[in-house]
Amino acid sequence: MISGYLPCTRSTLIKLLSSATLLLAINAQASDLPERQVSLMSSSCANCHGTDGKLAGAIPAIAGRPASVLEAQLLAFKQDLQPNTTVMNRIAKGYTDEELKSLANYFANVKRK
Amino acid sequence: MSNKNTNFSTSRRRLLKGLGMVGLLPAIPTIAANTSGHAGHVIVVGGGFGGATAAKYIKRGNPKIDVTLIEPNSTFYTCPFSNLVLAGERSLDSIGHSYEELKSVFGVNVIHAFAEDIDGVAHKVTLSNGSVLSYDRLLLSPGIDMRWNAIEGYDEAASEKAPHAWKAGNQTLLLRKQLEDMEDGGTFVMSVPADPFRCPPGPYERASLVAHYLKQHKPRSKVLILDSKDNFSKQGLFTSAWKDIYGDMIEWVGVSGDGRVVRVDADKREVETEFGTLHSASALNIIPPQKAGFIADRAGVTNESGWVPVNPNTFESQQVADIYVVGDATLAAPMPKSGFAANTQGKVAAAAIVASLAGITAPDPYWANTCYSLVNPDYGISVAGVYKVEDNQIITVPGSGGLSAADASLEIRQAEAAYAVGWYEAITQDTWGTQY
Amino acid sequence: MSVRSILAAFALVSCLPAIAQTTNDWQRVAPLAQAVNSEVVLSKGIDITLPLVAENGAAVPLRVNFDTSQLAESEFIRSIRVFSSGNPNAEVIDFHFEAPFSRIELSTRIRLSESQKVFVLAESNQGRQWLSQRDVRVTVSGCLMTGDDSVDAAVMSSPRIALPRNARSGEAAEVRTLINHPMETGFRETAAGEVIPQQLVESLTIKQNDQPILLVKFHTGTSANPFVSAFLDEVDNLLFRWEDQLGEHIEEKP
Ligand SMILES: Cc1cc2nc3c(=O)[nH]c(=O)nc-3n(C[C@H](O)[C@H](O)[C@H](O)COP(=O)(O)OP(=O)(O)OC[C@H]3O[C@@H](n4cnc5c(N)ncnc54)[C@H](O)[C@@H]3O)c2cc1C
Ligand code: HEC
Repeated sequence: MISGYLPCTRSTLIKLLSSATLLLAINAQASDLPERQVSLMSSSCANCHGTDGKLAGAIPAIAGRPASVLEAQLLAFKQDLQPNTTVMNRIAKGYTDEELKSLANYFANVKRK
Repeated sequence: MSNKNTNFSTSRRRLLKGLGMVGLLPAIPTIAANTSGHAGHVIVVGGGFGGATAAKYIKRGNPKIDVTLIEPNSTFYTCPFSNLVLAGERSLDSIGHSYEELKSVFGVNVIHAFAEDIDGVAHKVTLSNGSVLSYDRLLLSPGIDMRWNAIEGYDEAASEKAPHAWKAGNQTLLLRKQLEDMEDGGTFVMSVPADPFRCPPGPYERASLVAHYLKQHKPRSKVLILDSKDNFSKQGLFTSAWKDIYGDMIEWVGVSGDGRVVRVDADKREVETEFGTLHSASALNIIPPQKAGFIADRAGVTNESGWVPVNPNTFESQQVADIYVVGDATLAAPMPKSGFAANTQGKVAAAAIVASLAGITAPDPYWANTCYSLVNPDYGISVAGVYKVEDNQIITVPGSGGLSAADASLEIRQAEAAYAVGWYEAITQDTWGTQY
Repeated sequence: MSVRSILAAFALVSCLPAIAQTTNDWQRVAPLAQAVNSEVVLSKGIDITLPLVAENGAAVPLRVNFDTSQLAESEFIRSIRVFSSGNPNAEVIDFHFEAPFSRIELSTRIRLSESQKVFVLAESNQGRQWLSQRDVRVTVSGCLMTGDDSVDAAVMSSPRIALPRNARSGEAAEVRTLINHPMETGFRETAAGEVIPQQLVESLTIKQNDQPILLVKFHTGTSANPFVSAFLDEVDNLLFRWEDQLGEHIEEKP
């Protein structure tokens, strides 16, 4: 076990460097991202939709809506299928379909008040 | 009291720091943190976009962690929307935020004092009120300091006569007063620094909203932007909107047109550029070159650029263990120095701190940014981006983000102006407010 | 667990030198490898100032200082040349000194198409060479997107010269120059996909009392509106002459 780390090759180094990231990458491929992961990912949506997506102002609240609706909307934004979009198309393109699904689930599970 | 295990893991980390290795290391799960009742003490210095967000999200992540927020002011005035105050479209009060909800709802201990010194080895912060506090983890979000005298003649005293208004509050009101006192037919002169600086589109939004005010009240006046660079944020969108809305009221001079200001005479309201052109101003706004807030220097986390290099996965300092730095003070390009970015960096660092105190790996970071700019109160444009880490560097997720469409209709510009207000309500709620 | 992570940490540390050992990067930059002709290339004495991270690769400020105290008697710097490892064309800008300069401190703005190394090669009249390098990370900052890709006419205009305001005689003083010109690289395309032909300002010659003292050669790696500053020992009777690839020229006196 220990000696496995000793040979000083470049590939060992790379393995060492990426082991932690790898772990997470494997997780990311599973259909469900870990809760803390999604929670962190969703937190940048709060800057426009309020903490946990609950603020209904000029920008609509997204908390507590059915996951399937949210997911469909996010995918439509990503694929530029939603007319009159101002910014969500540019943001949705930053996430994989899998990630958008997790985000939709996350916000669907937030209770509104 | 930290137990043996934590001490041990900290010293290993410090050893690695010494060797300059921590920036390269993925967060190796640290050995079980505190087993006792309390989950650690985090001090946050700076109650602006990065710091207030981090304080709130650490508490949300683990209410057992003690969080102390150090911030000299009891009301925080946001730079975002301060250009509307300058133009007389909003009151200063409307952009002020208190720390009451962080205290009462989230249980953050807020101390109104200035952090004067930091000992990263002893894990101690010295405050202006004389007290010395210990931390397990420290988070700095001190924003920017001006580089006084980087432009000849522009020091702190001169900024009373030629305000920068690049920190909101009194400076905003000083510049507002000059604008109000300006005669019709006068010139509002603004000097803009080279990159990197706080809020890349900010100067051009300011020029727009100043022109909006002048157009209504002093229509023969001009806005002259003297710039230290040849390209600026959303340039195409701004210049075409300026032409449509303000005709030739706004003139922009880039560095290659002799726009770089090298000397300021604040008493005479006069500036001199690189190739010797003199400009006199009726109202003079000097936005000087900047650096990380001085406390970052005291903590030993800045490098020769004057900004703070961080481990992109956690926003922990590359130079000193257990100190996390977020916001304008950091070197986080391609993320810009914006309130939006500072807020999302605060969340990434908060998650990393909560994880490290629990002895587990930090979640993968995600960040986003959107900078709205108002060309007038009914005309909004934006630039957006989503960011992640690849090869231990922050990158823009390919295909994400970008500018508002160049050929968008006036309805879309109007919608973006309304969404800008929605964004302001949401981000200030998310940063200083409660859940709703 | 803890022992293991300590060992892992040490394994990392001891691996480092192997990775850091990047043998002679400069040899892979052809025009630079060609320009290096002396057996011994010295590395100390050139100070390169560049941002660690450049947020706008179109105009990265570069300052080069050469420590002249290391020169022998009657030895002086003949040329300072700048190369890049990652641009489509490695040549950035060259300075040729036609006379001894007491202070070698040059500034300009350069183009960097991506994160890469910048090399500075200095050569003396006795054939000694010095080589130094710096890494620059280039990343377009989120808010810096300009949305502007206009094509400007490729003609030289508005030459500018700034002499020091209070130069003292006997002390070298900074002279700054700039001329407006888009410096089309020939690598750029219009929105319609047509290549915009190369159009460069080729050179700037600074003459003193009708004698050339400094010749600056611009390349595709020099930013639009080429900017140059240098420390001159005398600032009287100067003449500046720019020439472009079409054979046009502009002359200007301060
Ligand atoms: C005119 C203008 C318009 C802008 N518009 C936008 C916009 O529309 N959108 C956007 O996203 N961004 C905008 N910004 C940028 C935004 O204001 C900053 O990016 C943001 O404030 C950075 O957050 P921060 O936490 O790093 O610093 P700040 O928000 O400045 O917070 C720093 C805090 O730290 C405190 N502090 C400093 N030193 C100490 C110390 N030693 N001890 C204790 N406390 C200390 C200060 O008092 C301050 O409260 C704008 C900026 C300007 C100037
Ligand atoms: C910069 C501000 C901003 C950010 C950040 C943002 N949104 Fe939005 N969102 C909007 C706006 C504005 C709209 C209205 C549609 C448009 O103009 O793009 C919207 C609409 C939506 C809708 C459709 C709601 C409806 O009722 O039609 C969903 C779902 C949504 N956003 C989800 C998200 C998620 C998930 C995130 C985080 C990944 C996010 N948003 C981040 C501004 C934002």
